[in-house]
Amino acid sequence: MTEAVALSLSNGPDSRKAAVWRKHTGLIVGATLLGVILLSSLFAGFISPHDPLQHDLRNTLQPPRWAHPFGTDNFGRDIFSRVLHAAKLDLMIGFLCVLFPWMLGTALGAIAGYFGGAVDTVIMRVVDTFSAFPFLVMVIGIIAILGPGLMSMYIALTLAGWSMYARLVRAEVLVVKKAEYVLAARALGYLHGRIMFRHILPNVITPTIIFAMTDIVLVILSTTSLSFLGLGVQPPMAEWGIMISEGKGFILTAWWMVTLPGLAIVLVGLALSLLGDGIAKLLRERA
Amino acid sequence: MPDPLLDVRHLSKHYGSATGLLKRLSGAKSAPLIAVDDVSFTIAQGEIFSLVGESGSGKTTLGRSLLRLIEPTTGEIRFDGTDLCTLDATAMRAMRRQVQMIFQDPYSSLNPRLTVRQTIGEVLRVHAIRPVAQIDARITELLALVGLPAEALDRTPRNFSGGQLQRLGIARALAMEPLFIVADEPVSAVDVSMQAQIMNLLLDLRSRLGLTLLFIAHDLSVVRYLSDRVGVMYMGRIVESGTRNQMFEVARHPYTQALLRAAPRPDPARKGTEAAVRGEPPSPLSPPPGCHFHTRCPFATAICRSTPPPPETVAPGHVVRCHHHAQTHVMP
Repeated sequence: MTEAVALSLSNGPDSRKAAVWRKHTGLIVGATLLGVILLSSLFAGFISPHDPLQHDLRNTLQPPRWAHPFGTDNFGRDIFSRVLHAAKLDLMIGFLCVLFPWMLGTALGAIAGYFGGAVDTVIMRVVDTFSAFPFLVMVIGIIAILGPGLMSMYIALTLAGWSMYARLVRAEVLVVKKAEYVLAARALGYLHGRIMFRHILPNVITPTIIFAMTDIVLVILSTTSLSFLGLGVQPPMAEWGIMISEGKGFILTAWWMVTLPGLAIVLVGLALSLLGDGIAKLLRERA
Repeated sequence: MPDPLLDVRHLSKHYGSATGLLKRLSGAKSAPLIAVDDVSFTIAQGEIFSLVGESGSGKTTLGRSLLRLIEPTTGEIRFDGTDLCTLDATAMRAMRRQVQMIFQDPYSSLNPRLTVRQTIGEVLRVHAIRPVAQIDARITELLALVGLPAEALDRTPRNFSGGQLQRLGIARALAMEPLFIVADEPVSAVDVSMQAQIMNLLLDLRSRLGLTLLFIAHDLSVVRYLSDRVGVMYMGRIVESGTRNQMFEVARHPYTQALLRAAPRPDPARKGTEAAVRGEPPSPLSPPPGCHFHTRCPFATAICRSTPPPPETVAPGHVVRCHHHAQTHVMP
């Protein structure tokens, strides 16, 4: 009885806040986590206690302690500083390697869906060809042709990733193209460019953004995998994949060399997944 | 009689007649779907011509092909003496100033991302209908014309009711200052109380702006109110057309008569519902030979099953496509 009264009394702004929290826990946690990671990567230069590339051969393979919170590696480099600096690189690669395929795929998918006919057939057969290869096989194949390095990785991840976006956008455009407001735009004598950019694309872009949010996780994982294999970012640059690769020989004696960069990957993946799901949920509710 | 504003001659739209490469190689030939079949009609300046038919009768295809939103397969669309089908893209774009359209579904006929100001302002800017400085004033004027307050300017479509959205669709079409508007079932998606308001608005606009209208509907009772002339479509053909009185008082085609019987009338003495048209409409993929209506017609004889009836003028302005039009006015 008293409990019931207490419950009904608490039905104020606080309980509304609680409801928002319950509904969007993932979004809030993900955004906060990613915000912290982004800020600390942006200000890595100020936060990190050491130069990420500075060798210190008197202090190699130190376990985590005050001076080196994440310990040091076999060259005495501070792992905490390296993880922070790597975050900037990995997030940038993740963002760009989703942005480029998104742009390419959206443009080609929209053209295919809007114009249809032979244009559609040609573009979609190319899409089929690209999606026929497993993602990593294709990426490794392209890097093998271009040679390892950051630029090759951008090109390879773009070429391997755009076809999903093209499929998604084409399907959406096929639906929206039939909407009466697009027919109206044609009846009003608007040019193709205006119909495409003002009347179709803004109404098909939402699902691609949701997909891109989850795609970033995959791309960051691919980036670290490629660097681990020595195909992506090259040493001595600080990158999580490279750090894990370099640490794997010391896994029994210096667990922190592998584990802590790995944890960073897990954390970023978690943050982006939560954020992606949360935004997807939010956009679905709005629609 | 002056030249009609719109003169449609032998307009047809076939779907799927252009077979693909594989089909052509294998020699298989699929029959085209004939959505609009050799349709001819005229609309005089200032007239409201209504086109009535069941869903799937080709009336929407016909309406859209008049604006070449769907390319007609054959035929002529003479608007003010110019055949629209022969115009290139640029000339057609200029012609769209004069020929506009109101759409069926008010909820999907406006871009959900744009405000009223953006939607209508875009029309005025793209076609340079008004100098930039006067655009806002003109939008307000157009909103007033269709009975919407100026506060509507900065709202997006989700903030309007169906009837208001339909008014916005009309305002957008009017922004082009057209001579002729195709209204594709503008009242079938709004609730009954709004239907009369929208129809009154169209009548009012006709008398104020001298508009010519093609009004498409699936229901005869709706068009009785506002039409000067009415055409009835069945499976891609106009089976009967005439003035409103001819169509509602002395309809000759059995299909028109059936539609008239189907129309609800507020008459408590009439009890029960008679089956208006027997059976289902046939598949448009394989329409019955001869007169398409013979499978459901109480008057059908051998000739109806073999020969399509030619259009026959039974009274000035009253055209029927029925072999037995001389007998149909006495219902069995």
